[in-house]
Amino acid sequence: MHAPSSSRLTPSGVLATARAYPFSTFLTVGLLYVALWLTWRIVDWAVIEATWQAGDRAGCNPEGACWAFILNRLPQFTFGFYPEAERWRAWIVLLAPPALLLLAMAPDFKGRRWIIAGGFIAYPVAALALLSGGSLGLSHVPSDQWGGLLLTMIVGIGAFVLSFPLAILLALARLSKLPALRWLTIGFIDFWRGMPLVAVLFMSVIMLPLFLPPGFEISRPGLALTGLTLYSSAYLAEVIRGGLQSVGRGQTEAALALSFGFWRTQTYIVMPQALRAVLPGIVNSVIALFKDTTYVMIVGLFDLLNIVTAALSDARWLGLATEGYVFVGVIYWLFCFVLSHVSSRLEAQQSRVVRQDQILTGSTQ
Amino acid sequence: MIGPRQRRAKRVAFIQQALVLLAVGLLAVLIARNTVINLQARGLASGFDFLWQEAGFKIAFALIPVDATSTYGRVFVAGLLNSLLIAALGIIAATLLGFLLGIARVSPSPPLRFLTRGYVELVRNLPLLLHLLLWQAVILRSLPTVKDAIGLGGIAFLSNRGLYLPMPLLGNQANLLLSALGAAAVMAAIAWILHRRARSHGEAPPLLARGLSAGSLLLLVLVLIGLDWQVPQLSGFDYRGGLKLMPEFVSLIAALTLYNAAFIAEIVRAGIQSVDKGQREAAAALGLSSRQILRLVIVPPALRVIVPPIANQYTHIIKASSLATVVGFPDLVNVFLGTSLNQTGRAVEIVAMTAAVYLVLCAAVALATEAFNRRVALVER
Repeated sequence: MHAPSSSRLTPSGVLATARAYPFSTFLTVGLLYVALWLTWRIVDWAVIEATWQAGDRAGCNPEGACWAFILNRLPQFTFGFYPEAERWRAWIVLLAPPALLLLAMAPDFKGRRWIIAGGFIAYPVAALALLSGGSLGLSHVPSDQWGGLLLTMIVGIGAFVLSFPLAILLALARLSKLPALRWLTIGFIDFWRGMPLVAVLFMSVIMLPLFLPPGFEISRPGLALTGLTLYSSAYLAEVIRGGLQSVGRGQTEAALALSFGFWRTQTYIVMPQALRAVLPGIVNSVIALFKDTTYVMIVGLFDLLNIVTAALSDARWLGLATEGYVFVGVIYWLFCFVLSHVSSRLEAQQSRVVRQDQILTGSTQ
Repeated sequence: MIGPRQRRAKRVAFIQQALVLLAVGLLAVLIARNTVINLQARGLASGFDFLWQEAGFKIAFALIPVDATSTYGRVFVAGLLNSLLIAALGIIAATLLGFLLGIARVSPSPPLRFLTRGYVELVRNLPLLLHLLLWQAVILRSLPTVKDAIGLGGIAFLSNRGLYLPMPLLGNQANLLLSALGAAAVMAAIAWILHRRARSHGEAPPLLARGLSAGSLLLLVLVLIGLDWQVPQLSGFDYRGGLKLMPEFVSLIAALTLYNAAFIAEIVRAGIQSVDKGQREAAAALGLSSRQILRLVIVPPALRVIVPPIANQYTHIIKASSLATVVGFPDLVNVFLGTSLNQTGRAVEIVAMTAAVYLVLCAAVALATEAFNRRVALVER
């Protein structure tokens, strides 16, 4: 299993390794060949032979990718059937979260607390009002016209922003000293964690309208969002519970000694430490949630994946499934890959901080 | 001794819990009342009697005989079995591929490490549903029609209508077959016990054990050859005979396997890397072969790290089997929560039954994991 110590990347070292392990060398060379061949095939298809501008499928080079299809449909893939004249509203809704996030992450920014509170409380309400309109002189855009990447972001951000506070409450209730509250929460969390998301979405579309008082209706995206929120809040609650349990009991006792009440202790002492401790886990939940938004296709919503799938049956652009799915894949992949790197960097940073703490305090917990 | 302070705290706790229960109870009553009103307004019946009524629709793939005259109860069982079949196949295939990839992730060969890392990073950062739709498109579009099906050694065929496999005919030989299989199982069991006893005494396994295990293997091979295999034959526009797997089924298993294998690979890698390097070096210094090191030194402690997250992944596969609905494969959600609910309108009953199935399955995986954890924890001492 171990290469000899001479296996450095020098000509003599490589030769020595090759002689010592002929099979492994054969495998290595073969794999290198496969990797190079694959790379070449992909570059050839996606770049060299690709067509970027064409009116229909027939105008594309059949040897390469037909990106003209994607470029042609890009506005639809981004906004769905949102009216063209009103798309500035969608732009604001899409660009606000990254702008807020950048502001909140700026070092020594005084209003961070307000930004975060605003992001979780004001943003969903404001975004919903802006997108659907019907007041303040904005024309009404019914939610069945929302689609594409816009809908994916609404569902993803909406479900996170709604499920996060819910998850905090669930995690606190899960660790409560009151048995009735604890067992109710355990039941709630385990129920949602045991359900497939497909079934959850079916249920929210079928059952929620039955649960509501007669005459009270929620639109389809609203129903799907409710299901996704409940589902992801259960997972998020378990992550946050891990953080709460990692905060030492001394912290709560010290706060109690300072005559802090329960909520003040949680808000100022426990939660900040707990959330920081499980930040990588929270980021991983965001990744999972973002990937899960594709499931809204099941209840007939046209999110990015579904709108591209629907466009594949356009008679002018038949047989371009690969291009369509590669496009969707690149968007999801970039988002998830970047976030997963953020998550693992946070983890590495934290383990470094913990190690320093241990050195400073001499504890080996 | 309970002081006045504690007594007061106890009273407060009691009142708080009573309030919580009251609030939840009120919510439940409100929801139940709304549901009853809404069901009546829509003219929907309730009760479980529909399970004995005729369903009137066909199921494209079922492990038990189901036709248009079957009851909803039978449709439920057929859908459940299909879901279990997908989950079981997905779990087995994803575990095998995941372990291979996970071991390759820590292999001494840099290109192998690089390629498997690329695979894992590519696959797990894409939504499972995208994998599924992509496979569905690939299978439906790139595979040839039945006429030009790709032959796999002349006994299995792959076309855009699905995968055709040979299947044994279990007619009059069934009894003979079952007794042969039973005999092979008994022989293998005795051989295994003898092996274990010999190993725990530090002796070489007796000749009888070797003979028995060879015998059971021989019997198994004989049974496999002796079976009346039915090979799919092209007749008219489709293959007849053998086992036909729908393209939806094939793409579902492919997507579940490839996606979850990437996660299992990472779990396995973390497990192997959790074993201290010194342990491996010490074993090598004691003169153990690399196979012995893997089996005796690395795998036992690594399993303790690997099993809990892998069980989590199995739960994920069981739940993700419901994606069959998207491609139109008749799993439980598709035939029961979908078609049956549409036809009968028994929303509450059907949702409750479906939820119960998945909760029971997840609880079963959790219990099995706990049992396993207890076993490996005992080995530690």
